[in-house]
Amino acid sequence: MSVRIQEADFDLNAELAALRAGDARIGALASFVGLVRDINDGAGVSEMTLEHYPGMTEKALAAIVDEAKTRWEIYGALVIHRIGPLKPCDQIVLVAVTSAHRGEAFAACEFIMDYLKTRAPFWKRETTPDGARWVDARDSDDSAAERWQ
Amino acid sequence: MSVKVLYFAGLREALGMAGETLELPPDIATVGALRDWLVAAGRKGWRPRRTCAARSISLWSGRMPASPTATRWPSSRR
Repeated sequence: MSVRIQEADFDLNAELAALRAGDARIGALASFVGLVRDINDGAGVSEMTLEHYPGMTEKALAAIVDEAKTRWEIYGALVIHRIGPLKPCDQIVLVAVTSAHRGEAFAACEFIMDYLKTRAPFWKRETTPDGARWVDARDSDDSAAERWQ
Repeated sequence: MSVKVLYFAGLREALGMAGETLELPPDIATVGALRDWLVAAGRKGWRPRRTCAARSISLWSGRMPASPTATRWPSSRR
């Protein structure tokens, strides 16, 4: 199980290959990649800057992964979240989970992503034609996380 | 009780500081009570916005963490 916070981009294929390397028990690898969109709440977005709480963020993500391990039989999990300035089309986050079967992998991957959106201390600042703005939390993210409770 | 409070993102910008050490009255025992106390104290820029920060704080409905790196998670139901 691995959690990384970094400014640098990540190589999706390399990360997935490393996650499943040498483990013949794995029958399923589910992954999710979040990307920067060029529009949000009706305004064009030319840049998004991600801020986090160093130290606490890693602990929060590790706790989320640990919670997933108690709910599903997963062999490995990887969470990479980028911080700093990002442009539209950039990769923001990778969540990947390995398991024997797809059901466990799909569910755990979705759970980790839903909890990450609501329980990890990240903040988004968008640059729009009207200036910069901090993004408020979304009710839809709360609802997504509540499904697992 | 002396507590170091850290501010992030929009709250940091609104308050003009990344954090401060506060001497709290003894009846401030939860993060929610701390938030209410700060609002009542008239901190400019502090308001209970629905931001990630506010939501994180709202999760800590129990007593305040014993250390700045402590965190509390709601018990999960299967």
